[in-house]
Amino acid sequence: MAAILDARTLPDGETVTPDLAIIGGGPAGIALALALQSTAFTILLLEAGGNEFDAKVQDAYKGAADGETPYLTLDESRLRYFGGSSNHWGGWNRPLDAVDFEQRDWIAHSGWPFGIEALQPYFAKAQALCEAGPWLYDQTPRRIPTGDATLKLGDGGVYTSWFQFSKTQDGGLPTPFGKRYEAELKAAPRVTTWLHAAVTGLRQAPDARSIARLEVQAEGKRLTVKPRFTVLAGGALENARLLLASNDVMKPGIGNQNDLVGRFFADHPIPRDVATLVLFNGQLPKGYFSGQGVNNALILPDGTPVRAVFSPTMAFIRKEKVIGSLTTVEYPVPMTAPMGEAVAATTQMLGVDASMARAYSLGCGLEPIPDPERRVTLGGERDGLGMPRLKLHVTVPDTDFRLYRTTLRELGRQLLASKAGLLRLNRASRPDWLAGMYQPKALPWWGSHHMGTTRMHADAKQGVVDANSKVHGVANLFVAGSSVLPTYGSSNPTLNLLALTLRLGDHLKTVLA
Amino acid sequence: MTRRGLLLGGSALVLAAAGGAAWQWNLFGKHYPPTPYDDVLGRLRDRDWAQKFGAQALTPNFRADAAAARLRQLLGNGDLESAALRDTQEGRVVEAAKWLVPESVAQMAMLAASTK
Repeated sequence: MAAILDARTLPDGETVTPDLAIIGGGPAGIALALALQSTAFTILLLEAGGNEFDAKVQDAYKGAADGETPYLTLDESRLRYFGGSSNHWGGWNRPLDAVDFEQRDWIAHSGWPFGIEALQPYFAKAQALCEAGPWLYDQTPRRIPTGDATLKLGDGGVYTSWFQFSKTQDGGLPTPFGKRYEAELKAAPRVTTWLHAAVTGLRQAPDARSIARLEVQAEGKRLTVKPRFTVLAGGALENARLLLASNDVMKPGIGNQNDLVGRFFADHPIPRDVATLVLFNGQLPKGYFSGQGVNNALILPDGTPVRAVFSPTMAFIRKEKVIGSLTTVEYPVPMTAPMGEAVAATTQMLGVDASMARAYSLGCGLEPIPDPERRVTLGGERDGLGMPRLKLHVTVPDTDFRLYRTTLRELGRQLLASKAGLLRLNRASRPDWLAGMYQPKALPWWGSHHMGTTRMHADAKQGVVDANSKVHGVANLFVAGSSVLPTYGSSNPTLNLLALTLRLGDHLKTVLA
Repeated sequence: MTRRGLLLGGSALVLAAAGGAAWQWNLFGKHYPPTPYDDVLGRLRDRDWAQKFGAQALTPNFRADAAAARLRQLLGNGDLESAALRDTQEGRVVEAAKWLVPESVAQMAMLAASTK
């Protein structure tokens, strides 16, 4: 039955019985289908959208966001068509750090049920799926892979790390998973993909211990899938919506017996102009501005662009009890008179020449602290498929800003110790920080990295899924993607959620057999 | 010795003596009114820049006596450059007008500004 089919062409009332149904044709769903393609099991990949963006289909993603901190509207931060949000991602890749998996006494609800070593066997394959070049990252700290020099920092708790970018395709987009892996999916003998197949309900067996069938709508046609096992891979917002809305047997929703589904929503705050960096010699080493389509990019020999960023070391995170963060050099800024006075006075006292000094604005991506009150719930309004629309409550605690500031101070100290530069901290109060995230008539600065609504925990009272990504209490339902992340780190999630999904794939091979 | 040679030699001596005096007493350099903190402020290469930056950083509760005492402690018998570097290595970095600077730099700049 291998094919990519338009579900609208199927007969109304069609029922199929694959071994595995995967809900969601984004990076996680596609990676899982490909990982299992060589097994003996039949797989049905269900994608709500088609091959291209369609405003009518996208409308199902509309919802409301409230809270003191403005958020992106729910339909602009994700995409409902084949390839999912990889159709508009930036292609930034960096693995989580070991410390991200640890239970940290200064961060409530932190920690994974396993360490980074559980994901390490899967990173190489995940990296290949992202087309992000050879695995380099932090293997040789303080040196960019090409051998170019990094910015000189004194010894301390901040070092130069880097991102590796996914290869850009013809249209200039980094690895759009739908288009990139369409041919492989078509060639996979036991994988069938349905496009325009919107799952609108997971129906449980009467004892609520398993999923009996999936209700699918394809522009008015009603289709039924009765899989042995189901994997939800619709993204952190849609996974929560489906679980909460499928409440005919379990009134609070599937997996929600402990009121956890939808809670702990997270995204990376990425405030701008957090600091001004003045380099005394005016020479910013190559790579700190790099990225796709950026002049003076630092490119690996195989064509992979990399971008240098400032990261706290794991030892510094543990000792100073801070959060993960990645600080980026964004753009040059003019040297104002007060800036010139500060630089001249300081460099004279340090005995450094600053006649060629240049200034740059810094941005950052912050690790969000897990918060059960940051959550999605079902609203009263319904979309065109009859599904309740989502309500999202978002906030950024002061703790995030305060802990990040400790890292910035360390970066500033190390710049002075090496006599390389000077840092001005531009954000101090909460209004300052929020001003760095929200400007009038501009999109708020968030990573669009939806995470955490079906968090992983070995204890059913603290997590929706167990360490194998199986929904607690439901024998044949699993979740793939960043919604299972119990603690989020500061790295972008795609590479990491793919490693996690490939691990799930290995587990499913055993479960399905 | 000719009369011409004598005149040239004498002129050279006078010029050398004048140059020496200018160097010794900094006759052409900028002079500041005396303060109780000149033992500290004298270690600045350029007091004008320090005053300008210090003016940005001065806070209402700044006390010159306390700053000078702290600077004497930080500087010891060494120079300002060494003290500033030691500050950064030993974690004494403070915010002055939002800039992260060595404590000795911040104290020196504010002290200079307070005496203007």
